[in-house]
Amino acid sequence: MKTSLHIGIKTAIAAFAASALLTQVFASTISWPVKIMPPGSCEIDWSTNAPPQSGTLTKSGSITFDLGANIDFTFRVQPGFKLIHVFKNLNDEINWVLSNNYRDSFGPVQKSHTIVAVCETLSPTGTFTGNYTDGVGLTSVVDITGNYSGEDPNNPGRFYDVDAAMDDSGKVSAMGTVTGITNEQGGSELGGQIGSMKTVDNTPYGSAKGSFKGTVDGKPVAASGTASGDAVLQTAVGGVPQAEGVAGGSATVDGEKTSIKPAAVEVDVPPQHTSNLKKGWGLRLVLNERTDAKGKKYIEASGWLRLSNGEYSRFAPTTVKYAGAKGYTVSFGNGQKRNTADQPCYLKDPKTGANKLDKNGNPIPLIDKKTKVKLSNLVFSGSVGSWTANSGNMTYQFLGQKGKGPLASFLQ
Amino acid sequence: MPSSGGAGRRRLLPQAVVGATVVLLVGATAWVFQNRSREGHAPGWEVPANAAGRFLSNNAGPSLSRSGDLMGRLATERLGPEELWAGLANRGLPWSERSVYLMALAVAGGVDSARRLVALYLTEPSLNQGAFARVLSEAGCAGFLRALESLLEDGDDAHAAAAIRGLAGVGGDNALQLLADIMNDDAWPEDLRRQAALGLLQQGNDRLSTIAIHGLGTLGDEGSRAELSAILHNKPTARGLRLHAAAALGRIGSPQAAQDLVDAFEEFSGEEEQTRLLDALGHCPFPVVDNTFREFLADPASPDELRVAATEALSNSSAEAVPFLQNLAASDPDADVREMAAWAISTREPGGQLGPELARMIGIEPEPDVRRRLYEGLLVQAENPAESLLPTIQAEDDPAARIAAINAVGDAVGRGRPTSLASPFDAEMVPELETVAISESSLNLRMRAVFALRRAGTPASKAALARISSTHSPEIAKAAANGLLAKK
Repeated sequence: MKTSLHIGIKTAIAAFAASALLTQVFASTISWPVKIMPPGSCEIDWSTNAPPQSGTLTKSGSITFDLGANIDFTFRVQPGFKLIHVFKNLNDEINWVLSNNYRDSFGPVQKSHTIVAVCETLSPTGTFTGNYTDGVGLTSVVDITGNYSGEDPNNPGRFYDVDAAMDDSGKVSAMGTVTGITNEQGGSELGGQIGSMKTVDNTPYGSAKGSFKGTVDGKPVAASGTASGDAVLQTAVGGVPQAEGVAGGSATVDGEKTSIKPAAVEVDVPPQHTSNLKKGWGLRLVLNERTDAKGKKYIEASGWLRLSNGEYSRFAPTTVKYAGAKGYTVSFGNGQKRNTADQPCYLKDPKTGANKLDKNGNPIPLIDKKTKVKLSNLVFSGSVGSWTANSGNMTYQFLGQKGKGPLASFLQ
Repeated sequence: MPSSGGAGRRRLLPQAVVGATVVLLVGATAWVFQNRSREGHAPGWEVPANAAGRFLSNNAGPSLSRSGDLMGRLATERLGPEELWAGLANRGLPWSERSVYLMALAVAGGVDSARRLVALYLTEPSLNQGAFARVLSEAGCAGFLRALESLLEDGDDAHAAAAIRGLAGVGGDNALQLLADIMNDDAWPEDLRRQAALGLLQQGNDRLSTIAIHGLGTLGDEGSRAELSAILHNKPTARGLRLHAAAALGRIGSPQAAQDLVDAFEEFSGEEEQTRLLDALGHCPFPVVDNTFREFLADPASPDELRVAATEALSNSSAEAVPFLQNLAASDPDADVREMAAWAISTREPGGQLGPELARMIGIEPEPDVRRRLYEGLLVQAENPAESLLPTIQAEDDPAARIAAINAVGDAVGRGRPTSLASPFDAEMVPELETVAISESSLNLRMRAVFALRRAGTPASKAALARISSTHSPEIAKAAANGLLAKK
């Protein structure tokens, strides 16, 4: 690898020097071509004593001064880069010990030389965390598991107590009771699979669907209905949160069928229900420099996603490469499930309740197949130990929902 | 002719249904069809002093200068009301000039004869009626809105149609609410309801357009389908509205509506858009979309994610979809498709006839996520043969699948299935459920553990619920307490 790097550098130097020679001024002055590789990686402050002059090269160029003068260079390396070579001509590496403000002087100058500063792009490392909040520019992912109690505003005296559980695919199951309503067996416990939460137009969107057979106020009823709408609540006049959506259904009461085709509705959502909308999720990205068995360095990305339900998906390390302007692309999936206390979850032996062990005697981790995260074009600025995410995008999928958004204001 | 109190009519829905649907809606506590009361109308036909200026600025365009000139001339010449009426009634003049006479009449206070004005309005070409009403609205003639309401209440269908066009031209909260009420009220003729929806659409407001699109979907007649199809296929229309139109077409569910959706696949290339088209198609009766879904799911070129989305969409289709879903759940090579098919089965109405078949599938299904959904499917079957699955259930080592399996057992126990189930349930599963309910597992899993105890309703499970009801987790404690209050 190093050999091919050197060949590339030398080829570039040769081409640059050749072009410089063609424009050489054969007089009492002399010009030194100065090449910065890659462009923008470093700025070079220079000064000569004859004539007394100074300046800064922000890109490759040349410096003209008197024969016999002394010339001084300071190589100021830009954030995100490291100075790895300074050449005088093709094979004359000036110094192997380079710093970010490396300084060198030459003179009295009698010949033309080509100065080449070669930098390498640094691979940012560190630990970066993002916590979802409204307004951060990312799609909200919600968990609606919780209790829903209250009085039907259309039917004073009819109280409901519904408990809902949303799983890792956004599918919702519920059980509950409603005053005056019994199930087919005459019990008051109602419920079943009632729908799902997904993402529509970058907004959490709930779809409820279900059927009921039993009695209402003593009358036999068979009913089914659907409802769907945004989980983003609008605040209506008077400060009452409202969900907008589409609802419809049909019912047979005492043998008489009534139906409503699905139509747009606005539904008042009691304040106590809005607290069930959990949407605090977070991401941690850890970028570490590692060295393989052959001594080669590489960057390893790992991290976790804290789901809106409080569980964690911890992602195994994966090798990534920092590609300059394109930055990192990191794909996470199949993380290990961890509970709300961030403790690892393992398959359990159903008979003993103990962790199930693999053939090597290790507990078998539970894999979260439903959570996927992709970070792309994640570009950092800064320097070693103080990198800041400058740009990049994130797509993610968990709890049956999907999201996307910019990383720069999210990852800290 | 019915009054336009559409929201009020909605309350004819049996209260019983309202109560029953509470369970479905979870976060939304009831079906509250908003009955927005109409605000009181401003008395008389007063015209604000700046109405003419506002009229001119609102009608900026090629005719502005000419209209302004005319307005100035009318003001200078101090034409009397009858001369202004004559100018307004002169059909030989372009509408842009006649509208100036109308505004001048309004400014001069000459429109105090509602009958005369309405008579003239009704003879206007329908294309002009919206603009006619808008001029009076800009002049602040609140009484004209009342006149339009009278047309709705007392006129025939043609007058009502004219009134609807006028309301669309007037705009504003009151007029638009009237349009929404007409659109949603099935006592009105379909054609007028559709015109009311189109009146909302022409406001150029996304929210009103969404309401109108849903209204057209509710109407569901061929005319509405054609309007929705036009919106869906009209590329300059906002993507969100086009996809709302797709959803509305899905709810119509006619063969032509389904074909509109299939055709739109060519026009939307993104995965999210195609997912929504599939979702819309899934609302159609299965016989209408049977071949479409079969071909799509059998096509090797169909992306995996969209195959899953297509399967999920069928959860909203008619009962005829169940055998197809069962076949997918049993044999599709993609576990995600099998899982979604099983979930779609679990959302069907209670009383299904797949109990034994689902039990057989559980016994051979290798993926725990699929088994989880199959267990959930047992809950809505007339027969829940959980006892035949006991060895499989006892061997479940995936927490989510295991809790789903125990819920199936709890359901069978609760339904009074063989007493051979109650004993292992109480002895082995109740302690496990209690442990899970108070563990650090996700709230979802803990809640479902409580559900299993509630489903069974045995003395041992009630005792466990009593203990759980004092746990430190408020949601779980409440769910357990709710289970104790429920009557088996």
